[in-house]
Amino acid sequence: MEHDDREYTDILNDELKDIEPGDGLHGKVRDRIAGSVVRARRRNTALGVVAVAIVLTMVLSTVTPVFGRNGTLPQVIMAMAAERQAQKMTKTLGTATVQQTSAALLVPEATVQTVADSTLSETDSILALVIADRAGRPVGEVVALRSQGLGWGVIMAQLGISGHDISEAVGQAQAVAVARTTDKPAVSNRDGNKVVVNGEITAVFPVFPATLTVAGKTFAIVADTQLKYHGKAITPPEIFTKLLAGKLYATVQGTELADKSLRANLIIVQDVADSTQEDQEQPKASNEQQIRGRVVLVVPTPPTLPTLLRVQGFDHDIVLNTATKVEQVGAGKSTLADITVGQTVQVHVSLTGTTYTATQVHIEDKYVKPDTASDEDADQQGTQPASNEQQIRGRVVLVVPTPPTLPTLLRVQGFDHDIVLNTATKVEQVGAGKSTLADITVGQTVQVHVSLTGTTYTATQVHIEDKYVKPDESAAEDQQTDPSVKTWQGTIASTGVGAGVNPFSEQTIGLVVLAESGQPTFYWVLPTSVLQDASHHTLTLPALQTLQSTAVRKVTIQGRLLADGTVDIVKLTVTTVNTTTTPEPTNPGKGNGKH
Amino acid sequence: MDDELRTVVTRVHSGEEAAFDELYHLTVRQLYRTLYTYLMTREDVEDVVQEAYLKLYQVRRKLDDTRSVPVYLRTIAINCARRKLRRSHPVTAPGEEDDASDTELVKGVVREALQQISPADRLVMGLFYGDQSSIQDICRMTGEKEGTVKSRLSRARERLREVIDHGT
Repeated sequence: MEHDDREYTDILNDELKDIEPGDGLHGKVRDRIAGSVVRARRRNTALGVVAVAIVLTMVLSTVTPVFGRNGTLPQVIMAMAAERQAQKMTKTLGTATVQQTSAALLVPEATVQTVADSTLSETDSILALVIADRAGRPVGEVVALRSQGLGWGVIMAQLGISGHDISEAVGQAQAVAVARTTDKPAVSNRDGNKVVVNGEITAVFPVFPATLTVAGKTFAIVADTQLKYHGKAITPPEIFTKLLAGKLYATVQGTELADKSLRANLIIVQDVADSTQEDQEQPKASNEQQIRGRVVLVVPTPPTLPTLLRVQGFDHDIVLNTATKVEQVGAGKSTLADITVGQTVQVHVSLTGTTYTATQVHIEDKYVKPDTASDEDADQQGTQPASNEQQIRGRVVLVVPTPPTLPTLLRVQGFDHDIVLNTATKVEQVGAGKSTLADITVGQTVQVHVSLTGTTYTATQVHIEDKYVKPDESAAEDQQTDPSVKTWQGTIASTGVGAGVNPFSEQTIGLVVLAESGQPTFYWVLPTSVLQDASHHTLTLPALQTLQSTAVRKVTIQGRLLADGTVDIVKLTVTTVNTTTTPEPTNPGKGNGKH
Repeated sequence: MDDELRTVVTRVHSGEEAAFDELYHLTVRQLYRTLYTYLMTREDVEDVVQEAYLKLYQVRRKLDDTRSVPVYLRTIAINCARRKLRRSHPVTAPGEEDDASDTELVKGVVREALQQISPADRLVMGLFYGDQSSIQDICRMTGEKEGTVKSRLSRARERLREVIDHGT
């Protein structure tokens, strides 16, 4: 192999020995290189000239309107940037109405309408509005300049507006517009023409006529409108500024006017920054306390959203959220939906900033199973059970028994409306547990849960606080245990009614009973008086009043002799039966011996 | 030679214009013959030489490894030569397996034998026997694998021997 290699090397070298580069090759190489160098220099020179020309043009264009009505180069560049910003704004606004555009750009609707009526394109309209607003000039002036064919850069320069101004204005408008289109309604409640809305602020129009939009409802801010933030007054422009920095929530109490527009009476602006950040900013702002009182307002919301609660005697609205624990006597763990107006509650609240949030709500009112029929009635009439149910307490001043088909009418002292009792009404009495409607009598102290449907108050539950006493035994017990109770017998001479006084009110009805000796005695019918006929059936007051007109009206009375010689009736029993003294048809004839 | 070349390359690297001429004179003869083995025409070789030295000149300030400059120069030259062959023989050049090539008037049996060897095989033979380059350097310059280079070398040798011995 080695021999071969040498052989081949010799062969090649011998064969190529006359193959030598010519003398002129070096010159050609040098020429080639020199030519390349010259071309490179020329190219670099040309590029340099172009660069210098560009720089000179730029410099020249900054002072000379080389672009005619579009102005100098910087003005053209500024106009392009401004138009690009305006185009973005146009896309954001889409087909927004004049009102929406007005709200987004923070300019009066009339101004927007002026531009809308012009021949400007959408992008130009946005720019005209922004420039006019920033320059403090009438928009018509800007439109006129544009109509003359001037570029936006020239117009901006004439009005002293910078590109930064445009960018800032459009950015703010976009933030407002985007917030309006992306945020969702939170809480809204209506009671007559009163409207309470709680949710995120989606738009603020800070100058007259100022408006604020929460949960899709736009409220007019008038001179009487109270605006609060962290317990202090805040102005619409300040709200707007804060809104630019981040989301804000507000609770708005307003009134719906005749033209269906909404006027804000009270706006409570709340921070929506996360709790961590809020804690960092205000480390000492949070504390906890417990309050107790009657619920005067509940703003119901879907379960996932905060609910607003107002408790009598506590000056701040309380936010209820999904983390709020609810308990109710008789039901244990409950839900936010169980909180209703009129209930007495204990609320553990946590103060963060100016927002009171309930951590726990204890409902002291005993849980009552909802009445299905009543709920259905309420639903059919489109009412809200939470705001139409209440609990009243007082002395029974009237019970109107009706034939077995019912309803029965009940009147409670201190409550201005008659209450309908029906078969769905549940009755309980202390000492007897479950009772019936017939057990409700005048003079008892009762707690009544009523539900308002239309103008009719229907009792869902009646709790008789007077302890149940068996009538027969009670009289004896009274006699045995109370030596002041004595027994009289005689004939009813007349029944007396206090003039000008509710005839069914206590101590206004009396009986004049003639003893066998002919001595008349006046007996008071008390709310606690037990009235019975000869069959020990309950005797109603109207029936008792009719006794004076009957032929036979002997009675046995157990009662307490008063200092003035009159007697408070504990128990009255008709001892002589006559057909005319039988209970009236309206008497239910309960006669179960309880009274 | 090597020391002289190293010194010259260093001067070229530092920007001395005259040193590039010296570099040319130190390397052009061997490069010329190698390229002639490949291209077999003086005109093509001169074109390639000019182009190769122009490219070397353009990168002269980047020549930091003095020992690799000859290999680098021949690599440039081979690539230029290949492009020239492609332009001359657009159909057959890519494979470079054609036995024939455009030649000037060939004189002698050896040159006739070389004419019958493919350019790629001739190139390898020229680099190996003419330049005394190693197989590794040939692989680096041609971009081919060692087995391929050896096969080309063997095939070229056989063909040359065959022509010389039998005259066919």
